[in-house]
Amino acid sequence: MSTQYKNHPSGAKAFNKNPERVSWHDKALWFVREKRDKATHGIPEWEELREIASQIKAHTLSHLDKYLLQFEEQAKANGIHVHWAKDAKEHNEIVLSILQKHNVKNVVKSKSMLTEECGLNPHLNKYDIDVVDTDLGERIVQLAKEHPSHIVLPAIHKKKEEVGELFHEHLNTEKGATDPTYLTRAAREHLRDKFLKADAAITGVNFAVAESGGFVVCTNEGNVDMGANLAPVHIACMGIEKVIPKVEHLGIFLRLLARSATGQAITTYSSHFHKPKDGKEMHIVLVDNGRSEQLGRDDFRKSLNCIRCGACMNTCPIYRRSGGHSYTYTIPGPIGSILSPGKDLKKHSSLPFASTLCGSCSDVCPVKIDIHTQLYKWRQIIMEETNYDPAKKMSMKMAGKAMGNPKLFKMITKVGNTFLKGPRVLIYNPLNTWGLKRELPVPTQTFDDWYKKNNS
Amino acid sequence: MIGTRKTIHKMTAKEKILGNIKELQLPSKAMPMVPIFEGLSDDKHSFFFETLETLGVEVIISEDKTELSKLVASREEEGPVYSSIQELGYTDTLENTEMADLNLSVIEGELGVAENGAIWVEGDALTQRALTAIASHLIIVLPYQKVVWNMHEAYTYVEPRQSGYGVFISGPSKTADIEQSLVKGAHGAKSLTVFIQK
Ligand code: SF4
Repeated sequence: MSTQYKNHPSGAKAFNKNPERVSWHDKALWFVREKRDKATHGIPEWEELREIASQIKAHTLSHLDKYLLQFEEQAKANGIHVHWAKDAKEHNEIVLSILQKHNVKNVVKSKSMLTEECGLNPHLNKYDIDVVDTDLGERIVQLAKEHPSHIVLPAIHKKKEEVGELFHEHLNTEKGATDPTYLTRAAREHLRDKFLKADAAITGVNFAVAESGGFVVCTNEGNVDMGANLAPVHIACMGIEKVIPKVEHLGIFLRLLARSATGQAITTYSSHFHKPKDGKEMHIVLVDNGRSEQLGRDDFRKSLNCIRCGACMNTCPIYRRSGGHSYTYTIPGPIGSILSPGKDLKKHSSLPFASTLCGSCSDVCPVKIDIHTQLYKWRQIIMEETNYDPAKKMSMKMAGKAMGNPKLFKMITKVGNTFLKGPRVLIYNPLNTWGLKRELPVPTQTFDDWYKKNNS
Repeated sequence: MIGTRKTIHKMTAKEKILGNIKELQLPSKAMPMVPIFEGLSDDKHSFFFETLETLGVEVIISEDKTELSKLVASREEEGPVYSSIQELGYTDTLENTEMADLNLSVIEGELGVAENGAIWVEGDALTQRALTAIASHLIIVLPYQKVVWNMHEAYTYVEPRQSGYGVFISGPSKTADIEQSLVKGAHGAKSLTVFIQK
């Protein structure tokens, strides 16, 4: 497996040893960000769509139990088996038991960050079940024994020469071959064979619709339509936040998702599954794994809006210059940095600091998550929890930056007016190796009460 | 011993998850209305065809009822053909050909979406669901009238639940996972032709 860095600064430092690669990575992602801009500018109602999407999510999350039950009921009526998993361990056990019941030896999987989050592959491997990731990018990182470094572009950190080497070793392509078309064709043949042999397919879920009891998976490659339709058993794994109330809401989300992700108007395949084909089986595993806890955190609830488009990564100056593997969590970048501290505050305590708080992530987020504000709030909690050097703590009390949060702004200006020339006293954080002498605004104080209230 | 099993009720994962959520007693947030947004120009058909072309799709618009069968026949020599359209023939190809060996699959589209070039295909109208992706090349036949502006409008017609499996397809299968270079023909069709029947 790829190196798991202790914290973001050490991962960023390692990545920055090769400045050429940093600038190449930076440019590749910025290119995707620009495509996103172009695609969104073509839609006059873009902002309205974001607002509606965010409201649909807020509504759904405020009635999540009801929608999950409705989804289960409708899915069962469609002939789909529904399972519930409290955590990663239960999820892995459920998937394993379905596979064992069918004597499955070969599984094809299409992109699912949830199964990464749960560590499904290594679990199944222990029981002699072979799992092949079929998304090209995921297959590349799987062969390299790494993890995806991006949620939409899993192999964005890999150069074609490295892919060529891997394919030469594993797929018998010509030594030194680097042509993307040639390499993609080789992968196509290699994976076709896997699709045809598979006893079961595992897929992720982009949206699950409560009223109709079905789910939608979006891909460009068509690996879901190959895998799930060929294998006798289809298992779809989803986080409980993926449910939306109505079919018509798909119209909103599908217009937002691909434009935000890659600048496409829609992915090549938007596959809707509602009933198993006669003689086949379809399963859904609904996974909590910390989500209901996050739902209870007023300040971080909105992070569950996420539709995993990756736009916040592409736009983030830190992500672009530190690479996805520098993060200590499966989901890298700004969104990962607000999802992870709730799971393990200590382990992921460096992540909320991997940001300039420039707010670009919040600006591009199609479901309007206030990402940079949440990063800032996690910092407060981390400052309280980890015994920071008191002098630094003092200076942080004076540091601040208004981030579209009127209450916070008021507080900062109240506390800071005598010390600050404008709300912009910034500190240099010795942890940030992602850019030399970048300044980090880290205001604190008022959140003591907030933290107590939310973390009792 | 007997009886203790009943008194100790082990909560299921479902009960735990739903219990956790209920306990939070979150204040209800209103469900927003979804308006039908208007199209991006006055002419949805030209917009649709242009979108398809930028997606690398070959578009054929024909008033001639025989053109489709001529087209399909002309490609027979490349390899096995399957079609879901009775009048064309080729519906029973899979009786003696492996699905994976198909060179061409000719299927019907139910609805085209101008804004993004996506075409709705009902998977269960096909002999096998994988026929949406497995053949090397794909032709989707779509009646000229069946074009709407955007996804909102599309979902007023499309009923995914009735389909069992249905998919919006918007081009040949593709990937850009190797250094962001776009390559057509990842796992699904390497080329897509949309045949518009007037
Ligand atoms: S947080 Fe927003 S921008 Fe980031 S991946 Fe999720 S939906 Fe996309």
